[in-house]
Amino acid sequence: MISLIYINTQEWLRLKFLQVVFFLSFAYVCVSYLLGTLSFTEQARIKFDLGLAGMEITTFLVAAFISTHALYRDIERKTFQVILARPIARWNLLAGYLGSLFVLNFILIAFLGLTMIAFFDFDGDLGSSLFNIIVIMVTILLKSVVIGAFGVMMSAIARPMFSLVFTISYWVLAYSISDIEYFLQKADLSSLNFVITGLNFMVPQFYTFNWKSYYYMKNGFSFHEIMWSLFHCAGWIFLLLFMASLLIRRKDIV
Amino acid sequence: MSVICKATNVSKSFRPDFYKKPVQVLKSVNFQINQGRFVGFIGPNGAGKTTTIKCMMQFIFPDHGEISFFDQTDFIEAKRKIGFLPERPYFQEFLSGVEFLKLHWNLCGLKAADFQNRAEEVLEQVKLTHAKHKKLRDYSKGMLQRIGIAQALLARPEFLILDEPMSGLDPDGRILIKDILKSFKEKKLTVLMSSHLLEDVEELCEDLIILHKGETLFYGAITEFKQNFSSLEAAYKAFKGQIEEVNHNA
Repeated sequence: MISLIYINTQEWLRLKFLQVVFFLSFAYVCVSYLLGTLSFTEQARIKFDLGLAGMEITTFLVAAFISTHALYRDIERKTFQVILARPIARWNLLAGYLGSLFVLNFILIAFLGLTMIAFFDFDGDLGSSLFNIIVIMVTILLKSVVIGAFGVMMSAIARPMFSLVFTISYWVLAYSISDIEYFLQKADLSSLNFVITGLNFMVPQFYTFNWKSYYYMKNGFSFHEIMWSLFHCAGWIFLLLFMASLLIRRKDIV
Repeated sequence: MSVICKATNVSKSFRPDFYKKPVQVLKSVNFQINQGRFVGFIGPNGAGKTTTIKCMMQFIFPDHGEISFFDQTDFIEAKRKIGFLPERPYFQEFLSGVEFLKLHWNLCGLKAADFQNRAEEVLEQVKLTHAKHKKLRDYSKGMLQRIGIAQALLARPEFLILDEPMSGLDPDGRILIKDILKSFKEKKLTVLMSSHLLEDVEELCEDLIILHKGETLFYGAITEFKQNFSSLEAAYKAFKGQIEEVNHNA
């Protein structure tokens, strides 16, 4: 498994797409710094809100693109066949993709996080702000792996572009369940509440720990909330990986 | 002589698209590969050779019939004794020859301490010792094919499956690969080699499997197949003529 993670990470780091994303995300953090300096009163808020949002969008893009294309790419090039001829089960390859994605996004988040920590001002209690920003970065990383797990699962049954569209929709849904619920209430469509119940079972509830903002960096979160977000993400990663392994178990690799 | 691999009534169909009718690629594939035999797997394009090999390696699953290895039910365990080289694969070009072998050694779950000696052995066998630290991107086509054979040999397999090992190679590359394959024959390693090149099959193989339109038309010793003919090519031509006549009359 470690060999697979190592080789995939090495290979993906060489992708031009990824290098461009790395550069753009760095540029985005720099732009958020510049935009922040234009404001007199809300400098820190603008910098951190934009910077953290950029971090989440970047890791999501990396997760969505790579997870939906990795399997297809390996099948096309017959790398999958050479590796699968070894005494390993198919799910190991999928777990290898997720492991590599974790490492890759970890590098990306660490790089962007260090840039933010180095250049942005943390007014007030530096210690608690640092702790909070690390928790925020960990949840962003885990959310990206959940999205990656969904992308890998979709790529086991659909072509890369379809998988990508489904994965983007899944990410949007994971943030929008509370909004949909609100609209249903306002439109007096409570008979459709079963949709919300269904979505809550099928989609992770990212909206319950959407912490990528200055407010949360300053005010923090409870221990219970941190544990909930960690176990929620871990649960979804294992569930999606399990489903992906079931789907690929008897899939014909033509 | 123990049986290494046995295929019984294997059939497989594919649906090109969900709204299209399935196409029957394999109808009835039957053969048996005995230990220590070098087996040639021949047939025209589209006969189902690669599909059969994919079924053997469980990349695809037969609709009917079964393929067994070493009389084992656990295929992952059986894979420990099988070396495989697909037709024109892609290898991670940023790795050197040794790093590539190391990756496969780790995937086999073998002891790290034994790697160095074994890597030297297989690199020597495929005549790539001089290029072991070169990146794969700098390898020629023939060298890539040889490093592919090296990875297949790495875990000391009892059975080697090679899908078109000489396709797309220049004459020098073919001679080198053929020499390597001859050394397998001398060592009595069990090999299944699919090929379009009848003269290579005649030179290297002891047994033959002929596939035509997804059906096994012959499996047995080459000497038995050739019988009254001077060469495998002549025997194959006569055999094909008979098949076409039968099909025409039917």
